[in-house]
Amino acid sequence: MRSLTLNARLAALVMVSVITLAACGGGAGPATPNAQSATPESSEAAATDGGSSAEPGGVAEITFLVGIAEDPEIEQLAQQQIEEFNSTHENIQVTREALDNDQLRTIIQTRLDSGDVDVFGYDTGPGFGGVLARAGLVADLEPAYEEHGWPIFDWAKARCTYSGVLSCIPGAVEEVGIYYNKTLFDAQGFEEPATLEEMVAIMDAFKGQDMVPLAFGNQPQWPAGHQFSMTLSNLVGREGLDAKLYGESPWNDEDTVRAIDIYFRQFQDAGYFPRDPNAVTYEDANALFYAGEAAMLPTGTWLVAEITDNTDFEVGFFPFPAIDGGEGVFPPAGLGGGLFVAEASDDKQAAFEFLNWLQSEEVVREWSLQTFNVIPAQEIDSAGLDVSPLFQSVLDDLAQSSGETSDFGYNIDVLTPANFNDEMFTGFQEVLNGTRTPQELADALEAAYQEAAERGETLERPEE
Amino acid sequence: MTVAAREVGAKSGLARLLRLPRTRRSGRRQHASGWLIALFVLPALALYILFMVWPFFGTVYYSLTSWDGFAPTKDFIGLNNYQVLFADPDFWEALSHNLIWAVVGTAAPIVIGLPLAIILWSGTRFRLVFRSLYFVPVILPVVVIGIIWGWIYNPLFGVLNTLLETVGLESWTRGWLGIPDTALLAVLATAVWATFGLVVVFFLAGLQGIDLNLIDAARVDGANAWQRTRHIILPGIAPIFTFVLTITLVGAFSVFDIIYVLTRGGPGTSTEVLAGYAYKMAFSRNYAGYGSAISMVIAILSLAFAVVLLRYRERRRADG
Repeated sequence: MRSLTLNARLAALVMVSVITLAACGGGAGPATPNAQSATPESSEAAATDGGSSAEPGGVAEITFLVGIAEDPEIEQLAQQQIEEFNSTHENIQVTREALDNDQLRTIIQTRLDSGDVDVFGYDTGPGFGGVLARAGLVADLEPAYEEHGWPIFDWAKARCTYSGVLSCIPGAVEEVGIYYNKTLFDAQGFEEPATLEEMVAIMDAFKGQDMVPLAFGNQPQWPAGHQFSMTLSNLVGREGLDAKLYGESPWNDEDTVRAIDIYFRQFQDAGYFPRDPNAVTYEDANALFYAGEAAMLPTGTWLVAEITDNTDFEVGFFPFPAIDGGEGVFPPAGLGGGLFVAEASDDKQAAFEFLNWLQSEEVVREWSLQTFNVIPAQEIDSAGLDVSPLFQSVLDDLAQSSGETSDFGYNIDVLTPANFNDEMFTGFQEVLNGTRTPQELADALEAAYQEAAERGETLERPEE
Repeated sequence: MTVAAREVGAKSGLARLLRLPRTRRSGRRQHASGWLIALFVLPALALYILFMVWPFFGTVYYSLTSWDGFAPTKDFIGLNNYQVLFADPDFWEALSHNLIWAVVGTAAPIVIGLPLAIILWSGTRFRLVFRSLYFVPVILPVVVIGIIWGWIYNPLFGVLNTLLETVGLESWTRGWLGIPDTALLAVLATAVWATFGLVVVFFLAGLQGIDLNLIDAARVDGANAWQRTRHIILPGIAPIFTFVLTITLVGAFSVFDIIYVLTRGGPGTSTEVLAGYAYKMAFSRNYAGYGSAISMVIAILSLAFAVVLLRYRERRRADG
C-alpha cells in the first residue's frame, strides 16, 4: 500500500514535470523543420495554390509586426491604413502590432519561429534581414513578385536579396541631408552652401549670433551614423563606398579618418553643435530647430511630415556640400527598411495579397506619398499630389534615384553589419568626447568589418 | 485546527511531501493532506521550473555554443566563450562599472535610508506622509524615472543646470549624461533616488521589532544616542541590514533598465555594465552564445555575493 501511494505520487510528479518541460520545449529547443525550410518551392506553392489556411469562404487572419512610429499621429494614421485594408478585404483581416524597434530585435526570432507573425517590417541590411534569411525564417518572395509584377527598382530589389533569394519588398527610399531655416537664411542673405567652406562660413555667422548652427543630438547614438554617411559619401563617392561595403578597400584609410575628423572633431571643437551633443536627444535636437533656436537640422527625409507640422517658417533641404579633395556631392540615400513574409506563416497567400495592396498605385499615392510623405522604391507619378513644398522638393530630388542611383551615396548603417554599427555608434560618441581619435575609430571599424566578413554578414557585390 | 491544517503548517516542501510519516491514527487523512500540499505547491513549482530553472539551464547551454540567436543550429564550442570573455577588455570595463555600482549603489541608499528610518521610527510627526513620500520613487516605472531624470539632467533645459546657474555655479553646468566623467555617477544618483525609499521601509520594518523597553533602560543607564544606536538599534536590525545589503548588491550586478533608458551605456562605453553588454552582444551583435556567457558571469557573481552575505548572517546568528 505504501509503495503504491508513493508510486502514485511519483507518477503524478513525473507527469507534471513532463507537461512542464514539454511546454518549455518551444522556446529553447532546436528550431522546427518548418523554420529551416525557406525554400523557393514552399513559397512558390503558397503564391500559386492559394496558400491561405483559412477555410473556403473563411477569413484569413494576418499579423503585421512593425516598429512603432516616432510620431503618435503617424502611428494612428498607420492603424487607419490597416483598417482601410480590412474594410475592403472581407477574406483577410490584418492585425497591426507595433513594437519599439529595440524590442522588435529581441523578439523577432522567437515570434517568427512560433509562426504567429505573417508580415513584418525590418531592416534590410545583411546583419538584419540577411541574418533572418540565412536562418530560414523569411519566405522567398520571387514567386509573389512574378505573380503580382511589383514595379520595384532593380537596385532596391538587390538590397532585399540574400544569397540569391529575393526576400523582401523594399520600404521607403530615404535621403540624409540638412534641413535649414530658409526664412532665416533669406533674411541674412545666405544661400544653400555648395562647398564645406561656404557651410562653415554660414555656421560661424550663426554661432556669432548665439544660435545653434547645427541641431545635432547624439544621445541615442544612431544619428552620428547618418552624419558620417554624409561626409564619407562626399569624400569617396559612390564607387568608393561600394568598394568599402564590398570589402575591396579598407575602412581605416585616410578618407574615412578625414570624414570622421571633419564632422565629429572639427565641427565639435568649433562649437557648431548644441553643448554636449552626446547628452542631447534626437527629439530635443529637432525641437531646437522647430523653435527657431537652431539654423540647420541634419537628418533624413523621414522627418519631412513632422517638420512640416512643427515649423512656422519656410524650410529648405540641401545635401551636405562638397568637401575639398573629395569626389563631389553624393547625398546618402537608401532603403529605410523592408517588408518580409515569415516562412512559418500559415497564410502566405493572404500575406502576399496584403503586400500587393500596399504596392498598388492608389495606396502608394494616397498613403505613402500624401499621408506619410515617404517615397517608395518604384516609379512615381507625382502629378496632382497634394503635398507640402518641402516634401515636393525632396520628392523631386529623390526622383533622380529612379532606377539609377549613381548620383547618391549610401546611408552606411543600413548596409553594414550590426557589430560595425555598434562600433560606429559608441565610437562617434567617444570622438565627440575627445576620448578616442578618428584614426583609432577607423581602425576599430576596419576590425569590426573584417570580423563580420568572416561571419558572412557583409554585402556581396552583385553580379553584373 | 484540523489534522490536515496542522500537517500543512508542520510540513512544507516537496521533499517532505514524499516522505510524510504516517501515524496509526490518521493515515488516510495524511494522504489527503499530502495531495493538498502538492496541489498548492505544484503550480508554483511548475511556474518556477518554466520561468526560472528551464531558462537558466537554457542559458548555460547557449553559453557553450556559438549560436547567433537566429540560426536553427547551435554549434557546441565548450568553454570558448568564457575564454574569449576573460580576454575581452570591454567585459572588464563593464565589470568595473558594476563594481562601482555595487559600492556606491549599495552604500548610498543605506547611508541615506538608515538615518531617515531611525528618525521616522523615533516618532516624527507626519511619519506616514514622509514614509509614503520616500516610497513614491519605488513604485514609479523605470521608464518614467528615466524620463524625469533625463529632463533634470538635460543640457538644454534641465532643472539641474538651471539651478546651478541660479546660484552662480554656471561653470558647473554640463550635459551630465553625455560626459564620461559624470555619466555613470549621474545614472547612479538616479538609481539611488529610486531605491532609497525601499531601504527606508525595510529598516523601518526591522526597527518595529526592537524592544522599546531596552531603549528606555539604556537611556536610564545613561547611554547617549550614539551608544543606543550602536549597541541596541544596529544589532536589532542586523538581519534586515544583511537583507538590504544582499538585494542591493545582487541588484548592482544585474542592473540594466535604468542605464538603458538614460544612456544606453554611453557616452561611448562609459556607463556600460555587464547586463547591458550581454544585451548588446546577444541582441544587437547577434552573439547570443557570448551574451549568454556574460549572463552566466552575472549570475555567478550575484550568487557568490548572496551566499557570502547569507553565510555571514548565519554565522553571526550562531555566535549570538
